[in-house]
Amino acid sequence: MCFDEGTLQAYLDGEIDEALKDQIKKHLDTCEKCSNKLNELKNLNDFSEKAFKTSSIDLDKAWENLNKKIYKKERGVLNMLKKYKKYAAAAAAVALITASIALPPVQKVEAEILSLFRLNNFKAVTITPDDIQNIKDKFYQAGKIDLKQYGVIKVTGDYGSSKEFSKSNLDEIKSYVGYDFKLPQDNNDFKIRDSIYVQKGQSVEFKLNVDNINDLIKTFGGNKLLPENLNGKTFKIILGDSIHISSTDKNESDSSKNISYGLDIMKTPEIIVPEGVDIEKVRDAVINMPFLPDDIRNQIASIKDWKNTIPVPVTDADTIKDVTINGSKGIVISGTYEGSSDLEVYSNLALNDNDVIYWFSGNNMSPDELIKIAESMR
Amino acid sequence: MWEVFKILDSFKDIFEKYYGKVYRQIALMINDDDKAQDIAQEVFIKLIKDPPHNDENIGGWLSKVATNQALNYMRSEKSLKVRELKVFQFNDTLISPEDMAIEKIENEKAKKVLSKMDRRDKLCLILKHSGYNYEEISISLGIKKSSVGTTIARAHKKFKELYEKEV
Repeated sequence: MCFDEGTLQAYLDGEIDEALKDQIKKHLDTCEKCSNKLNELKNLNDFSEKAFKTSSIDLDKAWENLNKKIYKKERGVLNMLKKYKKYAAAAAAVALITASIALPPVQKVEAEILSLFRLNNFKAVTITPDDIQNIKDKFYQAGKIDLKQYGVIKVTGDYGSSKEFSKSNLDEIKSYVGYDFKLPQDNNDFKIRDSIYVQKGQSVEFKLNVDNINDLIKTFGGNKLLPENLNGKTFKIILGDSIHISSTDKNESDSSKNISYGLDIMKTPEIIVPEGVDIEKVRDAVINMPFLPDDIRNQIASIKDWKNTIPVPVTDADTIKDVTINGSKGIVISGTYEGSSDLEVYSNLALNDNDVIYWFSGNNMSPDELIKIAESMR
Repeated sequence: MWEVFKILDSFKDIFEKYYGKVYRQIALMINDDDKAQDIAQEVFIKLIKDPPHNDENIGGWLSKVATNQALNYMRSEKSLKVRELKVFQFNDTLISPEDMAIEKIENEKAKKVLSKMDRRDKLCLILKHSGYNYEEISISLGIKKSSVGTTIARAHKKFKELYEKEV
């Protein structure tokens, strides 16, 4: 059997899997027609390659310039934190992780050693630039702090490896990830792209050095300390396989403005807490950590169902709204930012349905548009 | 949310892996290599500012943003009617001015030919010769990964055909 042009081109570009590669190689040895075809493709390839020569660039210089631009634009790290919400999230992650640890056992897995709970709800915790400045100031006063001495974080699982599926094989995806999920329906503006990617799950382990953390708390004048028996024990957050979906661009590629959404789906994360740890005490200590600005402290403390809630760090420029979609609770975070040329709009929608988390991220879509998409999930 | 750390750690890695490709893609799309550098930098600034959630598709995402930014630039240039052929700048380079001029002319011709091609074929060729892999190209163009090879082969043929007609 001869191979089509596309397959031979992929072979030429080294984009073919091993098994098929051998098959093609063998076939080329005996088939004159295909080997001529391959030669022709190669010549065409070289011809274009030559025509497309561009001037080379100095990567180090480009990196330097990029950094200059980033810093100049934002006048220093702090303003960058304010504008770049992901960075703000990094600062907030301290609060997030500690708050996450401060969750009680709900369900036992390995009865003697471990307790387990699921994070089911979302609650926005606003981090303002002042908060970050505040934390920074306090740490600055204490001199240089090496975070390593406060604990170890270990991530297991192969990050970055993902498997591609076609949306026509939903059953295959479901059996691969081991849980059922829903998908939004296609409409005139947005269709789900054919390729769906599944990323293998990961687990994150924290082992805290309680003595050092308590010393730090004392240095800052705090008096609520972490329980001693937490020392050296391992907390584990388990993140299952996640599914990544993207929609087509409503504007198609001839417009500079991308209007589309992405959807990440995953099982609700589970946290395993060592048996015998007094979770109430941990929460108490975390909430009262002296370097937490009061407004963040109050926000975390006010989370009612803190046992099952994920604090979602947001900036004060974001608009937050609680929503109920087909009976499931969720949260919508939206805002605008100045793009390179025009104002761009983003909205995110997090939703928990049957212990599965759906995280929609819309580019240039209004919250209402995103809600409509989420409501069409079946 | 856990991705926060990964993004911070790997920004330089991503830069090193993709900057050349992004730059090349833009340089092939527009007629100004200096401006291409600026736009490429904008793409990476956008990466920090508003990174994609599914960061395993980072190449596809970057090339989509690069496409949009380049098109945007072309549109604004067009409307301002200020597009002029840039005067060559001779830097401390090993290539002699003569060579550079020849290269430049050939490059101009390639771009002229590209402009006559179907949008999808044109972009596919640009992405391929900028060094993106099939998966990234398929994401960027919104086509099936399995049809990238066919699209490239067809576009190559078309390109050569048009190139030889062009004098």
